[in-house]
Amino acid sequence: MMYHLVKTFVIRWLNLICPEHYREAMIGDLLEAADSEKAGEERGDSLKLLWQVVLSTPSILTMRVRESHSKLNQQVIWAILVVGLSILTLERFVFGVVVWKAAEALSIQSIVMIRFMYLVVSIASVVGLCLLLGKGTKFKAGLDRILSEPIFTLYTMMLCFSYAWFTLLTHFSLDLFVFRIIQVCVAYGCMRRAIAISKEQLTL
Amino acid sequence: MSKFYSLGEFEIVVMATILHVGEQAYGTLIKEEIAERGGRQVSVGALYATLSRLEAKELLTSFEGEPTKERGGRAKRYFRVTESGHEALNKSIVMLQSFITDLPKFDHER
Repeated sequence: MMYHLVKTFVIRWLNLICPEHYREAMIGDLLEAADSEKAGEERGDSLKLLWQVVLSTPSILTMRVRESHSKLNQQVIWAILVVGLSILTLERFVFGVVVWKAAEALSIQSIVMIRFMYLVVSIASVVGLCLLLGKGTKFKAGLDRILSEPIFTLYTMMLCFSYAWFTLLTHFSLDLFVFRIIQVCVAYGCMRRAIAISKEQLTL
Repeated sequence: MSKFYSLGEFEIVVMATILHVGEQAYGTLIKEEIAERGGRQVSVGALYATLSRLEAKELLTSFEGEPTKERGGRAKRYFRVTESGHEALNKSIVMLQSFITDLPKFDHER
């Protein structure tokens, strides 16, 4: 049941974003990569299928953009918005809950302190991601992987931008000004890196 | 004379892999072969982005096979290297070799 739902969602998503010429083949390859549909039975690894689609989506979207000679069509714009907003919402929701629960538990009421905790959680998530991808011990290897995968670079970029945007919207004060500058610089660096990776993968 | 395209590193990898795999070269098989030979995991999206670019440059050609049950009734797309693809691949490899031959050895003690 779960796999059926995931597969239906994935196929709808891929139908929306894949270029027509390769659509059949790409969906088939992604289903095959997730070891699904073996012997015609509707069984498979939902998580693996989703992960493959998540990893492939940025490249597919960039391919669509390039195919249309930089003229973004409405479908692609929607797809990019959905991906961006999903990352943003997930990050905001998860970290928001973690930070507010921690602040409640520690009886912290200062907004500056709460924002500082938010920053710590955000940095910890990137460090955690590095360690996770570096198989637990190799931080540098994980960081290299982040910088070589558009989806992770996009995640880091959204994280930095969302934090800077959130603090700018809610309360502008000098106390976190330096932090904001650093975040915007990191986000800008990540964005440049993401563009470089896309060019490397798509126009070499 | 046909126009010479200088291939990127990943483009060389993809084209060489298609030649290694032969007539059965389609997405999943190419992806698995790259992982096996180069220890490099690539996403389906990144692979097709490169394949589509190479096909647009007429260095590759592709055709659709029959739908199969194992792939949820989806057809495979087989890829072949064209004559100009062979030419571009050879020239790119020769160019790459001219850069990497006679490289001074890296001295670990320094």
